[in-house]
Amino acid sequence: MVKIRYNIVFLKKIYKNYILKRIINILFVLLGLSVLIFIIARVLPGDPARLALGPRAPEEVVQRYREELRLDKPLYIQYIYWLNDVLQGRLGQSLVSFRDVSADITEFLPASLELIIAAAFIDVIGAFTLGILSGKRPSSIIDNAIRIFAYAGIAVPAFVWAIILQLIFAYWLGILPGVGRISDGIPPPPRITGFITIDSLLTGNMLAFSDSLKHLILPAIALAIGPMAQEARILRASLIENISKDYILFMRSRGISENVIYFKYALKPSMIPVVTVMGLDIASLLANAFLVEMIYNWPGLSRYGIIAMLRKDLNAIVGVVLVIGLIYAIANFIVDLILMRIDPRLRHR
Amino acid sequence: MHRKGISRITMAVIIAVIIVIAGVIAALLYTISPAQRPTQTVSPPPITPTTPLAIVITTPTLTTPAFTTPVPTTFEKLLRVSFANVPYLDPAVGSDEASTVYLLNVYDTLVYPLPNGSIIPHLASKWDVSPDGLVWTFYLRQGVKFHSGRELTAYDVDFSLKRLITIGEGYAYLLAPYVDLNNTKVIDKYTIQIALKKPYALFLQALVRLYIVDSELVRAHIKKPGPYGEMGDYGKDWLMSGEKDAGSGPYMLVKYVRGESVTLARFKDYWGQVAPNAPDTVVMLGTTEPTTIRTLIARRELEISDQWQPLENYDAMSKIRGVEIAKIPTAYEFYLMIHTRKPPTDDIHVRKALSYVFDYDTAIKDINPYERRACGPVPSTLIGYNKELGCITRNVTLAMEELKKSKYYGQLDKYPIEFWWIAEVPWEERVALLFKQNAEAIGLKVNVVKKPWLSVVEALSKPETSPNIVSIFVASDFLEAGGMLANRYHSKVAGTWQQNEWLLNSTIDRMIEDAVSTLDLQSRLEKYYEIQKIIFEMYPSIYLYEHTILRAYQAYYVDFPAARGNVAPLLGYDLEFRWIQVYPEKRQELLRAGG
Repeated sequence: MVKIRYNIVFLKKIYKNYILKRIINILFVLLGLSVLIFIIARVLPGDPARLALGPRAPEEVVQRYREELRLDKPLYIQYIYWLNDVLQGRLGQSLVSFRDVSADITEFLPASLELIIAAAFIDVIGAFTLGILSGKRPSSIIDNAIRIFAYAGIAVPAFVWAIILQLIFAYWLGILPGVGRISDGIPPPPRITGFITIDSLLTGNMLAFSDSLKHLILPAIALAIGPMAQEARILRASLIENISKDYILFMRSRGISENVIYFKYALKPSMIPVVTVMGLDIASLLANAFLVEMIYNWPGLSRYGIIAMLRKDLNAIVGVVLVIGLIYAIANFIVDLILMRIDPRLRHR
Repeated sequence: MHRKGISRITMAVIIAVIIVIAGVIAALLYTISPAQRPTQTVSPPPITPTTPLAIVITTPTLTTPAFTTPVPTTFEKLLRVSFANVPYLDPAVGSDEASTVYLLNVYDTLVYPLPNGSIIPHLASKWDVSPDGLVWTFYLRQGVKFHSGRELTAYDVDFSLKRLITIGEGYAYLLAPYVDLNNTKVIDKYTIQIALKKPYALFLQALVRLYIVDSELVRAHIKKPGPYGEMGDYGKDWLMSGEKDAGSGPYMLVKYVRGESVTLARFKDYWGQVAPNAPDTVVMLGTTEPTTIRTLIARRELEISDQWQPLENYDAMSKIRGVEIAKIPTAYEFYLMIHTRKPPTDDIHVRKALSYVFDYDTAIKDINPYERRACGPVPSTLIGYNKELGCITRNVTLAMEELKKSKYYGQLDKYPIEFWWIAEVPWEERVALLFKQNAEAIGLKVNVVKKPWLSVVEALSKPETSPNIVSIFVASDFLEAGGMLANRYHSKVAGTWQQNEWLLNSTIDRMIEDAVSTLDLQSRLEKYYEIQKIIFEMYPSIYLYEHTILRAYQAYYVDFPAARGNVAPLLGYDLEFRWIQVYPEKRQELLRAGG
């Protein structure tokens, strides 16, 4: 009862002093980011209207399209128009899909989020398991094996893992699908959330669920390996450091069980640096997913983003960068909240 | 004090992880692979011999392994093909490869191109043309049904033509400069008269890209207000959304997954001819990632690959059992376009020297062994190609002699030649370096520059920003040389990526215009020959490759006519799905034999 009341007071305090401040902060960050990316996207070489309509479209049609996109106006006027559109929930027309970027983002974001959540799940489970196993018995065979895996995991980029996994499990062994979100021939569930796994569960379509789950495995592992390896190493180092502190020695002298010491008193403070990194790593999965989504033909936002960049789709570039920026900002915010919950010292600063 | 050995908690964690992994593997093993599920039997529809096109039907065979006896099962005839992108679904918007393939399978056209370059009736059963070449009257086939069930009439043709030209995107550039919309009229339900602003001999060939839409269906989905006045958005949003198509072609749109794939199904009421084992379902997949393509081909989840794979991937795929590489001739030519108004390449002797010093054989043998040698301003696959010109061969002595005649000789180090290659096409660097090596052997200085495509397009808009040489592929829109000559050497394309030569030669312009407005084929061909000869003698370009499209395909269970060269050399016609045949039982044999 006392604990619940304390939590409520804690949350109220957070709401009053912290959340509002952070939201304003996030808005300013996004505004700054939008100015920066808006300018960068528009000063890149090449005529976006010509590119969108093809090299042989008549000049008058291209000119009409330029005017439609307001590309004939000065840069600051273009930005004001764009900002006005954003306030009305529109992100401008995509030069590739010829519809509003917000519609594209709504369509592609769930696929990326589904992949990222699956990768984050694997990342969290894997990082804690490997970190604990490794940190508990430093220099043991398990620790050394995990160290080798971690070095490889950190050194090799996600897209290389994606290719390796695809080659092994889809090409040679043929036990997992190597492309797409669901197999041809399996009708996808009706779109409710945009997450195929959740939508198939909601509609009771177990065949689609198991198939979409299979499709998730390889890209999610490819994305998760790098952050997992890095976080496992951080957790290990942190655990080793904390386990040798005086308060642990004191507990041992009091005869408290080794497992209680380890999981209750050593692990909790060791989690602080890991959670900090984990939050940012999970947010960065969206950016890292660019090539992984290309390799697995995953119709997500990252793939959409890379196509937008290659085809100089101005509004789509700005839209995708803003979404990634927003996800980073939110992830940072959540990490701070979790850290405040874990570390009482932070609450009182 | 530390206890030795693994603690209970650690043990529990390890066991939990093992259980989770085992559970996932078990779940995966228990789920049925979709490829193994039998599907509804679909019997091939009867062939209606409406076009005089003979289909060569062959059963694909494999010479290498012996497989188990086929089990008589029935599976869906499924064809999956990869592309660089997912198509644009509006016939007035798309003109890239994927869109063109989609459009020519889902929509019908008035006329149809044959592999030999001739144009035959299709939706139009016949046509006539006024003596001045300005009025073309088309008589439509009766009883042709759209996928909506409505009958196709001349009003739909009129609507489609106006829609394409008004929107101005996609293939509009082929028709817009010539068609006089004000005087184009529907005569009756099955007759339409199309008026031209000036005589245009390539008009019939341009009509190959006029896809006829169901005007009532499109009108019903027009959004107002839009950029096209009373026609609002001309139904563009609706067509692009992929909800439905508005065509009458042999295939119809059944599913569009934006950014991923397009699924088509056979239109059972199609009026035209279809091969007996043509696919019932076609999936157009938007990916070219090499590992993905190789994996899909190996798993028999992709029947025909895209044409954008690296050579080593084709080699690897050709080693997969039952997979072959189709080599499809095209009307694309790879040019080293030489700026004729910038020193030192403004001097014809320098251009001649460059043409003679280049090592063509090495460029083919060591860089692109599948490409064919190009010898003139247009590809040899086009009607009207002048084969009398012959091929320039390497002759360093002759190159040196030409260079000595140049006004720049003796001060060549002051005039370095800038050679741009397209950053997105890595093998072009090898061509550029070979060129540099060859040219420097006779004392010319060459700076090789890697340039992104967008920068090239922008730079080529002005003569002063254009480089001395740039290497670019250009595809012909027509089956005749005239179209290519106009798109490459006419002054109207100077300032676009299609001409770095900056010829700006009014005589050539007049000759091209005269040729493409000459209705008599023989005299037209004579004019093409003459233009090619004149251009050839000006040495404005180095003619290097005639492009051969490579596609990996499942030769054991797919009959792919284009692999036999039986295809019109126009974009997209190698993937006309109604002529491709699929034998799913043979695919099962392969799968049973271990892939």
